[in-house]
Amino acid sequence: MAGELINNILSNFYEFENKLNGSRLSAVHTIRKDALDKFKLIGFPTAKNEEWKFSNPGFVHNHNFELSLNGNDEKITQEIVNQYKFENLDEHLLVFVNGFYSARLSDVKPKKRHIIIGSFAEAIERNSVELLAYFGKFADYNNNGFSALNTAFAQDGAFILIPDGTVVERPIRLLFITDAREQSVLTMPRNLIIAGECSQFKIVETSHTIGSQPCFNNVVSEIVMDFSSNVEYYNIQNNNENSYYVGTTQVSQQRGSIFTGTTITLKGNYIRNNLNSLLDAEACETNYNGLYFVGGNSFVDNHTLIDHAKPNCNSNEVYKGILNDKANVVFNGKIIVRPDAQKTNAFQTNRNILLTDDAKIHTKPQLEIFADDVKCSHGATSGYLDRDSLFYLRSRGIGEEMAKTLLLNAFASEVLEKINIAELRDMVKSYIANKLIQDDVYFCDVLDQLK
Amino acid sequence: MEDVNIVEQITLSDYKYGFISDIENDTAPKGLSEDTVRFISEKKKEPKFMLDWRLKAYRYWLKMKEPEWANVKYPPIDYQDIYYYAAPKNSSEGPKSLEEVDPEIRKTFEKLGIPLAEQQKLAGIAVDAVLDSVSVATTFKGKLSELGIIFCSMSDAVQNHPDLIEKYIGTVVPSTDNYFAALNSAVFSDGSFCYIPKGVRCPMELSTYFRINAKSSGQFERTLIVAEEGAYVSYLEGCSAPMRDENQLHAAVVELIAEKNAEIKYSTVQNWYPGDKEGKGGIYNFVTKRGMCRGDNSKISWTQVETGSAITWKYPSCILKGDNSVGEFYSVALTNNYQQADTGTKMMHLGKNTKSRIVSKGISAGKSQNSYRGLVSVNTKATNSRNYSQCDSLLIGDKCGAHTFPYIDIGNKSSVVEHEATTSKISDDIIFYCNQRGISTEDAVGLIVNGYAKEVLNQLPMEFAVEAQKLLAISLEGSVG
Repeated sequence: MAGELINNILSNFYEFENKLNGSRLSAVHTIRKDALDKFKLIGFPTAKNEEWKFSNPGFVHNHNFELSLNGNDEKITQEIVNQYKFENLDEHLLVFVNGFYSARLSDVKPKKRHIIIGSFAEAIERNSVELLAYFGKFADYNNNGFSALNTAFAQDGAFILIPDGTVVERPIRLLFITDAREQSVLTMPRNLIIAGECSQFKIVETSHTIGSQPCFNNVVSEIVMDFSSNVEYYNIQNNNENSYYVGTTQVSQQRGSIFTGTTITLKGNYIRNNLNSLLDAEACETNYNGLYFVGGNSFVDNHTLIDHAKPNCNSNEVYKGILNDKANVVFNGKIIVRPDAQKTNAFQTNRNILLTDDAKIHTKPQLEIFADDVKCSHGATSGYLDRDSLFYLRSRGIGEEMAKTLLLNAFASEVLEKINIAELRDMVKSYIANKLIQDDVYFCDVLDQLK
Repeated sequence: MEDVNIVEQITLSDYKYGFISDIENDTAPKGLSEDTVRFISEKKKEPKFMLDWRLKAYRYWLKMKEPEWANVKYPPIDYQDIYYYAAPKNSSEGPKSLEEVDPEIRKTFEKLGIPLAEQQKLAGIAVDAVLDSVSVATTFKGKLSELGIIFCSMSDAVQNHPDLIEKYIGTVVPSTDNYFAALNSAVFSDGSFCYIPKGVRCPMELSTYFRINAKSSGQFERTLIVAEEGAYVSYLEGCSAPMRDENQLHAAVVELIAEKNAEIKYSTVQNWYPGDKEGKGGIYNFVTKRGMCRGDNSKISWTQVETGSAITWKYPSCILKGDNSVGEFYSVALTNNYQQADTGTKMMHLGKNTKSRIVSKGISAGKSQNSYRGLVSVNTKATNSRNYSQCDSLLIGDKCGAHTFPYIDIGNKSSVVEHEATTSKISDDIIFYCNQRGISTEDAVGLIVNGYAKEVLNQLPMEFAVEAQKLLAISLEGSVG
């Protein structure tokens, strides 16, 4: 099976290459070919690879994923897009169908000149200097088969360039729709986000699948941040049970920049998030917030890497999780402090609540420190709802289920409160509150414990 | 202030246990083959089951690959360039009393600070002195045997208690467990065996000194401690090796078995030769230590102070199989110059209501690399389990590294697992405070390090605690200023 998929991919690549005609010798394509060679060499990762020990991506071989090489948005109606919009949220909307930009469905509001909120394909077409300068330079494809594959097929996705000194008030929404009504689909969107000096903006990424066939989204985003820029990146993952997602987000930060990455995972079959930041200059700040609230047979793996390469940087990482049913979750948070990255402050916490005995959590908070004048700490906990708190609430006349809902909401709110887009925060909050109430059956087990 | 004086005295000294005693060796030819394994087994007059077991391990070892995952770097080891068996020659008949012990050996121990004659009088400690793979003196045997406690060298045990050995050896660390355990199983030359019968509380701390002496002889020790139902034993192991330019391999295996209500406390002060200031020489210490809490309510506690060896690679672990069993791990690992340590523990919670506690203090100085690697795994059936882990790192100097690789796998909802780790340096304020009061920077660092490690040092028996404090100070010599 394994060979079959890779053969399909290779024939896809030659087909893709043949379509390129003149642009076959372009710089972008040189990188693609290099990435394909790397992919041929390393293939998909297996559980033998330490980074994929608990998250064996065997699914790639079990489904007949079809990679589409052309964008085709005809079958997607405006109604479908509307249902994925957040209520009352005024946003720049970029819609991608099977990984390809759809100008018809997108809705980019009036904006200042020089701001580019558009597609990756278009940027390739007009030979964007920035694209050539940054594409493939940050997301490492030498060790990660998925990134290599994405790079080899990098055709379309979002291309966002916010020039120096510009603040974009409206959140920029990247809405990825996968049409899996007829067949199983593989999409490989490639995003490049460039933040100019002192620019400031927010990005919200969501993926949705329509239809019940399996779909696999292999996403790579590169975020390049210049001096004193401020980017907030939200990834809200609430896809269906047949969706597979491997996302790699690589952030490169310059002096004084602040990056805040928020990952909220609510549903999906297999979700792997690689979120990496390279703090390549002094006085950078990186904040990672994560919340996973999953049930069913979901598998979620959050791999984060904060690489302190230069002195005087701060990083804060908080990941919290509520695991229900047979959810299987991995958290692997790595912090590297390079030699000479003195006066680094790096803090990390990962807290988990398991609601059933079938749920599993593997957590590995990892510190690698090569400098001495640093303050680093990490903590990881796993447990159930605090009995004393429950008792406190119940002794004040609050019903059991209500008390639990309250406590779990409180647990999640540490992360949720950090969402700076009010509409988005309310949406996630109400989703979680509803889900807790709907699923209250799950808590009966915990009750037995208390009796 | 007394401590400070001790520190002062010792910081002026070099590695003081670096001397070579001149004893003739009865050595197997260099290199490893089935013949070497047979030679060792024959030398030890072992029953057939033991030889078969060794050969099985050896054949399995041949198929294995040396692991590479640890965060340590060293030149490849040539396993054919090692003497696998070296015994003091005149031990073939075995000394029956202290007077029969080779005077050379006795002198060696005196230099080490454990003169047997005095040790005997020091009530509470029986020393099973191991010098180069063969036990040469065993004391307090009579007193222990009255209680039914068996405390002897592994080779004696194989001959005198083959039933016990056959029953227990390899049950916690199978011969196929890992590369170095397989190697040890094939060629282990000696070690200690300790058996505490049902309901007996061992009245004294059992102690063994391991020493690598003959040049280029790897020491492959195997220790097996069995505590039957309701038994208690506290076991001490101390290590010290002479100064060498060649790297020496030490691949030991320690197995602990605690039955129902039994408790085993295992303490180590490890002081293998760490190599010189340029990172030349030193011992490679690749050890597999594992304890099994087999019965309900049993307890195993590991305490270690690591200051020595060029490369340390060991994870004293607990398998908490019995319900309500308890595992503990206290560790201070200090690395200086070019030392590398990759150490930690594994706590495998299998039984209900099992508890474990991990306190690991890493100190890195010079150009050393110090890693904590641990696993806490809670099985789905291990309900209401509890773990608390704390691993702190202290960095002295900006050329060293401290790393933590904790793995936490939880499989049920009623268990609570907490892990916390911090990394920091000795703050200038504290040093200044000490300087102000007339304490030199080097002494201040010694003080602070001892305070930092106190939580672990407190777990050690008295005599060891004093020695451990001195060792920490010696090992930090030259890392400040």
